[in-house]
Amino acid sequence: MSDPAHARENLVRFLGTIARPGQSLDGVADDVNLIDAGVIDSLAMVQIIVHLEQGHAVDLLAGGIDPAELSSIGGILRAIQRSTP
Amino acid sequence: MGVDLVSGSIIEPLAGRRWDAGELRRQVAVRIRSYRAQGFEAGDRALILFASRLEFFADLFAVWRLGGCLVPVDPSLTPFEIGNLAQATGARFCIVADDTRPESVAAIPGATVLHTSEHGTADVLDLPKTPFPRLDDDVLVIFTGGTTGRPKGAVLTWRAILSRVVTLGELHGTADFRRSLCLLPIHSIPLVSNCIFPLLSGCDLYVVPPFQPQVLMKLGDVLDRHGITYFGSVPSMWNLVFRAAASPRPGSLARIHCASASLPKDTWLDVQRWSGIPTVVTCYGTTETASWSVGVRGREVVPESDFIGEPWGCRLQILPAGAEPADGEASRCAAGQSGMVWLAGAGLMRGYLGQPGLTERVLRQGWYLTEDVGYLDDRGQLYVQGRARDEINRGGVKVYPAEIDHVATQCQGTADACAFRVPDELYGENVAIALVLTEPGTATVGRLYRWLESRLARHKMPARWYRVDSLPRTERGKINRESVMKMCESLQPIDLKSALQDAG
Repeated sequence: MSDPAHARENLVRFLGTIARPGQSLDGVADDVNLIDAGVIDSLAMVQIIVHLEQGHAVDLLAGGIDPAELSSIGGILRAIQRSTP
Repeated sequence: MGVDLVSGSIIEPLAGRRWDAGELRRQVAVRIRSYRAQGFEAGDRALILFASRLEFFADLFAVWRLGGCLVPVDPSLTPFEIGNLAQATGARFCIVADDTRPESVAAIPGATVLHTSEHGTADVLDLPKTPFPRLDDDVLVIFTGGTTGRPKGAVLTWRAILSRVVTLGELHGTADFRRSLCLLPIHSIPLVSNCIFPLLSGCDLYVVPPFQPQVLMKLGDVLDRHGITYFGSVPSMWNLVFRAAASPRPGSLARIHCASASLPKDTWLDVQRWSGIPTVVTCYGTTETASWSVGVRGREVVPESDFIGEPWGCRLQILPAGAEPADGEASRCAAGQSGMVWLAGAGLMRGYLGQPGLTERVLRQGWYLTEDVGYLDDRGQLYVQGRARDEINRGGVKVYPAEIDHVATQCQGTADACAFRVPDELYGENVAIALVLTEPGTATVGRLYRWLESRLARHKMPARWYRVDSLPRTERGKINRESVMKMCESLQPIDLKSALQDAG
């Protein structure tokens, strides 16, 4: 995995593309639930999964990831980190 | 009546809470005593500002036993919208929970606030005998749109609810529904079809907050863990399920319904494969008909595009646009000929609350004009091809563009506005808006965004914004949304991010 700051920057850039219109990720802390905070919609979770599958070879069906983890920046980064050899 | 028929349990699987029928009756009894003491009388309406938890059902049955009418409110609405609904219903009461937002309650200043968990002593009580609900009492008002302007609330009587419960039970039996999971919003019509029907049929009901990713992404596990036999769905949620959720083990799951929008044939086949069962039924029904009205009757379902099935205890006819049921059988469309879908039966709503003109437009001689376009094949099976009305189906949640127009045009600098549907990979459809601005410039757009944001629930916020010089209207001055949509196809959307930055 690339350095944590770079990984976070890439993730935030991606999340910015699926955020609700007018919503910004600037200043959003790593532990904030993005759905509860209204930054992304619940069904946009599928786009996060596609991003993880295609960009980071994360296989959700193989298990090991708690769906709740994918609701925050920190959780997604941890999921990526665990799946990286 | 009502709660007397419940013999199953209500369960919140995420919170690990469960009420059996006895506990539910006790909860209803203490509410009846408490709410009556606070002035609730027969004929009163109560807004309920929370959903998807055990207490919701205790409040529902308590209000019914008191002779009242419950008005479920989407908890995600803005205070502006909630205040508007309260005004339209004339509700003297609102029922709140611990997590109800104070600003939502403040939006209903004249109402007496009933707290769902504050009823004094928790002594065991028997249900008091009351004559309610009576068959023609109004028991539910379900809003289908217009939360910002003139709310469009379908008034359902106890007769309508009970007739659907009895008919669905007779048609399908109750075995498939004995452990029903509700994944859908219960402030809207899934309340009747996915909750009240199984509950009053003696089945267990599992409720979770709608479209919860944690549940959808573990759906197979959730079904297995609780031995779920039935759940309802909408097409948009299947993307997430297929991507993330393992299939359930064979054994308990017996039936899946899919409603709200047509299920493409390939997705339909995928649902059958994922679930391992053939009984995946695309249901057709509306709030105005109280529940599912048409679908396949047998267990072996063969997916086909646009295919729905046959009436479930109601009557159905297809008439050419502009024709009336009173025109007689000769006016009906022939097999294979498309027209407007009309439904009739005991489940029909009384009408739209406080809107006799709108009611008269759709309720004609005991028939309801769905404004959906479809045809019957030579076997009498219904196929629904589209709809003539304007609503936007965003991931199974209906958005009514007129209410967005209404709010947008009240903002300074907006001369005209037209919300319309655009195709969306994720939601099937999403909301776009075309704007005629009297004050061009990104600051105006930013100001309008903030204006809409404070007045519209999140799911109604337009995802794409377009600036236009004028909006195409019909000769009668009505906005032509299809023309606006086509006009905007060739335009570049407004860069909302920049506009918001400029607006500070």
